[in-house]
Amino acid sequence: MKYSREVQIGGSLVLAALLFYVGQRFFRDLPLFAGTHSYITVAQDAAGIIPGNAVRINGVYVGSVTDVRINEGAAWVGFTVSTDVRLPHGTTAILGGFGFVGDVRLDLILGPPDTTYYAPGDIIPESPREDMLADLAAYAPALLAQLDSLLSGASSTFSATDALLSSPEGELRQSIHSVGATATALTDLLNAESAQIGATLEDVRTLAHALSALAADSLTTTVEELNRVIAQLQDNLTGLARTTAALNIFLERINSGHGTLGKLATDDQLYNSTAEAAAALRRLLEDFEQNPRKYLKDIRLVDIF
Amino acid sequence: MICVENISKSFNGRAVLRDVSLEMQEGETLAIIGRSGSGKSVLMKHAIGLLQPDKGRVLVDGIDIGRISYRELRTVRRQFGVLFQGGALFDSMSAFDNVAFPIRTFTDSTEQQVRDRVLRCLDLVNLSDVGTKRPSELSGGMIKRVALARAVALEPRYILYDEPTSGLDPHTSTTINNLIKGLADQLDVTSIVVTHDMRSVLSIAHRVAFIHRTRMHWVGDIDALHRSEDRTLRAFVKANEYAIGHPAQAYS
Amino acid sequence: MAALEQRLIRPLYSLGRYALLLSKGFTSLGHFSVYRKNLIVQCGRVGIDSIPIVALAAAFSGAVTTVQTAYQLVSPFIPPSVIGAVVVPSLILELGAVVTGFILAGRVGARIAAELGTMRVTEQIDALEAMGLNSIGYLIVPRIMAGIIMFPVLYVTAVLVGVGGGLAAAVATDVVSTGEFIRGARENYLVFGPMFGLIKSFVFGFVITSISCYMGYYTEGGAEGVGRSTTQAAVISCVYILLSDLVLALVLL
Ligand SMILES: Nc1ncnc2c1ncn2[C@@H]1O[C@H](COP(=O)(O)OP(=O)(O)O)[C@@H](O)[C@H]1O
Ligand SMILES: [Mg+2]
Repeated sequence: MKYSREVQIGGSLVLAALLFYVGQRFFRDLPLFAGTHSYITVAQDAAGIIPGNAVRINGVYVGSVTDVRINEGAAWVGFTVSTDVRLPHGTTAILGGFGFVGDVRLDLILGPPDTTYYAPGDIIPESPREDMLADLAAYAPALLAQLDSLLSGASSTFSATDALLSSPEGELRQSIHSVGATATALTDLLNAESAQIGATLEDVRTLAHALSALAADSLTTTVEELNRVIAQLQDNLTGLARTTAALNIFLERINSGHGTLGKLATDDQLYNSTAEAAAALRRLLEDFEQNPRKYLKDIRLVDIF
Repeated sequence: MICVENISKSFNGRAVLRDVSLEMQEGETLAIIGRSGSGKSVLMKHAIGLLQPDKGRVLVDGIDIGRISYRELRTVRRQFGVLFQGGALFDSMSAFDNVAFPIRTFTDSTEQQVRDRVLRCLDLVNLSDVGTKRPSELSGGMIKRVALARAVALEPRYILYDEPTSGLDPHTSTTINNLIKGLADQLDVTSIVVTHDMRSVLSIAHRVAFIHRTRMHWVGDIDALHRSEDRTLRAFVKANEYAIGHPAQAYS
Repeated sequence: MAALEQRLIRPLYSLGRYALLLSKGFTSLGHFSVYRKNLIVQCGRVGIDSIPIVALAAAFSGAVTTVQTAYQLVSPFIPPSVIGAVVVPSLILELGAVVTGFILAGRVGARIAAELGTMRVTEQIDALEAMGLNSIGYLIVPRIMAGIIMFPVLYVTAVLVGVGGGLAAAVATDVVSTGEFIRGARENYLVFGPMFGLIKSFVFGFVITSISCYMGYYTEGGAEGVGRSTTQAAVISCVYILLSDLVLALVLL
């Protein structure tokens, strides 16, 4: 055959190219003919990961690290995942492994099954570090207990105040004495609680601070969430404090005899502001009662426990 | 017309040619003679720019081939046919392919045309049955003849022969001499024959250039050669006449 | 003084002549049709004809690496997959290309130098030139191209056969199972490895063929000169393989 040599050479070139491709994919443990998507994760500590290290989900190889570089003081780790694996939002990445034979790897923890997925090229957040979680785990029950007691305490105070305010005039006068007692109890409670509220807030802030100091990028969202909740809580508590102040004035006037109920009834401004505060309180209260953990629910950390 | 003007050449500090000048007329056959190792082949290689002179220049049709680009030089070279001393057949190819090589490379001939031409050239040198053989399977005389067929395959204007008859039996020598003569007459080519075979010189050359001790010792036509009183030249001619019939000695 | 001059000038002269040879070859190429046939022939000789010996050498180097790794590393504290993790990357990164390089230096380099050297001393190169052909382009370019084109094929062959040989040796000596071997190889796999090997093989292909062409093309002094060029081509190619290996490792890794 005239062209046999050409055919041999051409054949060997094609075969070599094919074997090169297949061999490479074989050792990367990628499906032979499927494509890959690339993603990025940003870590404080890349744990010595290098291009070629495995990417795994639940211990199954799904791709490999393609690129590691320093960007803005953090390690940017590019990796590919075969196209048949999709990463739902909430997926996080852990860099590490036990490196005796260079067995460093990138593990992906899939987020909850979701209809939304990360698109190729997205940044997959780094999983919170385990020691950080341990801190939180130890701390969270106390935090929750504190918040609970704060809320239930406030709740009973508000119920009492609410009952007091919404009761008919006659009954109010009759029970003026008991009102005095209740008011004192209320004030005490509020005073006590406000200290606790302050402490709680301080704790939350410390924790948030600690978290953001440790924070890998992946934690940023959580911390932001936490901050938002804290801010909201703080608003509500400010409202609580204002209401408490108004109640204190109201109760004081009644006690000192200046403020009679008649006066309260005639003094529109005072009545209105009191009523307003009461309404705000009621709303707050209803809110708390309907979903007692509404303000915490957004904090993902709470879900963890 | 080829003009060699005052060229000098030395290898590794040893002078081979010193201030050599030579002029070849269109259509003539010039023999360059001299002892073995006197620089005849070196001079010939200068004519096609295979060697560059240390001093002096070579003009081919008025073009200084030392000053033109490699591309232009190659164009100039295509007017030459060269028969090298050992034949210089490409030993990776058959005899046929050797002769066909320049035809295939430089013309757009069809394979049939190539074939016709190659066979004609081989016929010219009295070889028609060696086509498929490799150079290693051919005798010295056959190699020279195939090489000659290759040299003339493109009908060059200039043919350079480096020792065309050395090492050949007298019969083959005569054949080749006749061939050279025939080509010169038929095709109006300018031939340079490097040789020390005086019989060959006398039968084919119009003029003779004698290189001795790195210099162009004597240049003249055949009549002048016969009449020359130059002792060195006479000694060379005489020594060569004795050598005729002892081809083994004649190889250089 | 003269000796010093010789020491300094000679290498520069050679380097310059080498560079000129290459530039002359690649700049005045002329029509591809003139070289096509030559290229095919050379690809066949450099590539196809070298496959058996390269495969043989690669199989043995894979096997030997495996056995030696097993001997050196395996203890109760080290998983046997380490063998795969050592052998496969060694073949991909280093042995595949270098073993092939050495074999080609001996086989192809010597052959090229002998061919061209013979052509030089029997005036075949002069004959090509005298015809008005670019002898460098005609003789050297196809050989270098063949080296660059076919060496990667041999590299891939060497790596695959080497891994096969290593695996066979591992399984035969019962130190690691196929699965473990492959797992080790996969866990320690470097994505850039094959690319690096491929780049190496291009460079080695060029180094071997171009040096051998240089040696052969500028042969002097008859049959003896051919012998000298042949030996030098093989030796110098090997030296430059090692050198370029080092340079590539420094530059690319
Ligand atoms: N390329 C070369 N390198 C070194 N020396 C050479 C070269 N070519 C020729 N010579 C030397 O030049 C001298 C003349 O050689 P040459 O022309 O071949 O002689 P001849 O007259 O027999 O043809 C010889 O001594 C030869 O050794
Ligand atoms: Mg000679």
